Amino acid sequence: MARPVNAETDQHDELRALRGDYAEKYGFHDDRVNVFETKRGLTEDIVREISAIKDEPAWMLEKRLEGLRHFLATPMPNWGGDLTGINFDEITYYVKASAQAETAWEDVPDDIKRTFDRLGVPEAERSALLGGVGAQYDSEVVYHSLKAQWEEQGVLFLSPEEAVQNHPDLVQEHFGKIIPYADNKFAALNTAVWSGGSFIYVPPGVHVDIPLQAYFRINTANAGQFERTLIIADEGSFVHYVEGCTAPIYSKDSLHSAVVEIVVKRGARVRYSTIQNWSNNVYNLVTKRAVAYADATMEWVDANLGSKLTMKYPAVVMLEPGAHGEVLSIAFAGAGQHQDAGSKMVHAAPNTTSRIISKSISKDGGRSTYRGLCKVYPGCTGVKANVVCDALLLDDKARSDTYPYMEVEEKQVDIGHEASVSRVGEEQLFYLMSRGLDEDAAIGMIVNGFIEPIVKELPMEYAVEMNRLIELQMEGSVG
Amino acid sequence: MSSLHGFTRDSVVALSAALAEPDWLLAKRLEAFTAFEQTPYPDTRSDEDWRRCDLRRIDFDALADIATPNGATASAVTAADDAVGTATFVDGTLVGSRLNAELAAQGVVLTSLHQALPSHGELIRTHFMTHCVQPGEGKFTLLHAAFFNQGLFCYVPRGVQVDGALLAQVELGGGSLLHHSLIIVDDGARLSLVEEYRSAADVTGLSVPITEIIAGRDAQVVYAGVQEWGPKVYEVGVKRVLAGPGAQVSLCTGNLGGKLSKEFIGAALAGSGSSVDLLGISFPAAGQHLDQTTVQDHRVANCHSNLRFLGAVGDKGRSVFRGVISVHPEAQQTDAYQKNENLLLGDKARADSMPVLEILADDVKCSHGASLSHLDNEIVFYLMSRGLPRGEAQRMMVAGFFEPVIEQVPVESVRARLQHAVAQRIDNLAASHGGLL
Repeated sequence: MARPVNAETDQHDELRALRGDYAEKYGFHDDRVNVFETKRGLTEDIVREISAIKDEPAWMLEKRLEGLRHFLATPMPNWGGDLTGINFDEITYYVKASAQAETAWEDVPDDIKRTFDRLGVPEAERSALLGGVGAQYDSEVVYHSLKAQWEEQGVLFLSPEEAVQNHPDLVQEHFGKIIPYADNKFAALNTAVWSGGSFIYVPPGVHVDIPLQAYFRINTANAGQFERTLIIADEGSFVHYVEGCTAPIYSKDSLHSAVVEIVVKRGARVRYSTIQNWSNNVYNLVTKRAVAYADATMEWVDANLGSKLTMKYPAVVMLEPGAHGEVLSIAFAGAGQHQDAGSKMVHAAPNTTSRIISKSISKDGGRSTYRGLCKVYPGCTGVKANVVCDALLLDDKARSDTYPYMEVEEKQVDIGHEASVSRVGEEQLFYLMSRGLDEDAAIGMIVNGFIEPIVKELPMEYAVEMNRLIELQMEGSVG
Repeated sequence: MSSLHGFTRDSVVALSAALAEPDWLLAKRLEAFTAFEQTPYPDTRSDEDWRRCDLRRIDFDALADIATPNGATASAVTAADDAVGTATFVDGTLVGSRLNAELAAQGVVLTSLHQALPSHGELIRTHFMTHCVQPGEGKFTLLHAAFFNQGLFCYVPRGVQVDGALLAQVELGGGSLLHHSLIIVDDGARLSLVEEYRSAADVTGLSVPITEIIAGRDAQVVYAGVQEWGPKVYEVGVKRVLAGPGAQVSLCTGNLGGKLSKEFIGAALAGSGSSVDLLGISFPAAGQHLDQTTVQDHRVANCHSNLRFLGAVGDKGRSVFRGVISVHPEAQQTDAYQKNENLLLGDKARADSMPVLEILADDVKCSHGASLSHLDNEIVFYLMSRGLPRGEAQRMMVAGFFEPVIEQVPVESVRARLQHAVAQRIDNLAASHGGLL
């Protein structure tokens, strides 16, 4: 049942109740003995071990080994954020907390269930707002369900491991085709040690009109999570996929390095929403890319609130005329955080259009960076692309950077880029305070107004969560 | 003066001796040369400032004949009678200059660096490649500091107002030219100055110029530098203004000629209350690569900077713009703006635009905009509905596109030449497209 939208008092009570810190809300961890974990560090043996545990066909193992070879041969990127804190030898690459993925919530091990209960995951499903839920705990998917009505129409919502076993043709056709293992060091790493994630197939013409959700949780200290997601939206279909992520606060850093590949076929539309709320000791280095065919639409809604360092640039490659790419991005960088986020729009066909709206907020020495690319290949006439990025600085220790790249090799195009960086306007603040709000509330209101254009694009449940998270981040921003 | 071949230590010593330099200047050259030898050429794959500029196209060894006078005279250069003073350099030597007598009496200097050494040695020693542009910034600043030719020295003493504009003309007959311009405008003084760089169409050469503009407290400077090198000249240059407290500076660049040109154009806002406008036009066509990297470097509080770079790209032309607004933590109340507009006109044209913001202070107003587009057909249609033929309407629009920057150039005759140069490019482009753009 949907939460009543206009019950404002309820919502305020909830918000008040939520004004704890991250440690209380998401930062707890379960003291549990994992069913299995690999030794620390990355070797060919570990990769073979992961593949063997998953009982994979030879072709998948071969892909993993290719990925490993490339990972070992590739230097660390020398741009973006500070990656020197990552010690690949200290990381546990595979941690299994539960024996298998369950389809009934009751069957999930109690302590894991408690975790997701505390995070409110099954509640969302119970309230029938979601078409399906997947929950991943460390390396493995522990729970998966898909509403019967979609199952009947042929929609697949599985862990990628299940897909490898049961739908090898579909996986082989697309796996690593949109993001090849050699794309970058972290895509290579993911290819070598991937575990968990989602596999979604939507048949032609099927509109999954309530969102599919996945929830990612890292529980083990110094663990890496390397989920692999592949979404195939067949011709004329629609799906909205929503992911959330959290982790406990450990003294040692964790690494999350996902690869997300999406195929949006002719006339289809995919929306992929992320609420990234990792604890502030997670390196979040993710490669996300979609290819869009004729008249297809790909939308990334990307909110980055947590993590120590995020480097993530969701991309849309428009391969046929009429394709449209869109990115709506929010980044919030607090103390010790660096959000290096943005987008890539690659126009590889005529009459394709794209839009990027990015909003970033920095406070307490946090650093937010917009890094984006808009590329137009020769012969791609009639391309229209627009980028708007705005940054808000909340104090004098914060930092904001904007690095847009525009590479245009065709004359019949219209490309625009605008960006601004400013602090909370004294006049706006003065006005709100003159109406009786204290400074804290006034700044909160201005920040909410600043990100409103993006929050309003989220499903209602998530918009509420988003506002709560911003409240958490804003806590004590004055004085 | 004998001809000097090669970027060698012997060339450094011979050049310094031929120019009868004091010991400190030779020492400075040699120090730069040592560092030059130890510094590799920029890695165009990994160095962000150079990533889009293919230096492999330049054969440095073949071009390493350091320009020396070859009998050319000032007659090769059009005289500008609307300037209150002119200085003409051919192949790195001052071949003629004149300055309004009243200005000269007030202590204004317009001559070569080397001729000014006896009278203004200390001033040159204080400001020449010390705090505006420093030799150690990179391979090419080191090259320049080791091998600079007889460049321009312009000085306006405290409080002196130069009405009208000064004009420096720089001509290259071949080989390498490392023209240095040191422009010092003292506290409360005012100056307008234009520099023009040219070569004949058949000249093969390398130009590594550096212009340093040092604007004192409340000084007012309008500077325009226009390069119309011939099609076989390669260039890597720096133009930078160091703005003191309350200084108001406009730095305009016209980047039109050359086979490959890479210019670093910068404003260092080092004095509170200073204000700098950076303006630029470029129009690469026919296989030209014109590359401009700008920096608005806000080092202190309460400064204002504004950038506007306009570029049109013709057939097979390549334009690269990378502009950074950098705001240091201390630079509160910064107001900075940056705008890069590109008009894509030709086939196989390519334009890259990277407007960058790096903001480390919070109480700032910084924004930028960039656009890449083609001629707006609605406006073309409007002009045609008023009776203009299509080709004429398109020409008018391209000329109008550049006008906001061209009109800022202080010397009428230079403005006219710029308009002419733009018109010529439009005509060439139209001619190869059957009269239409």
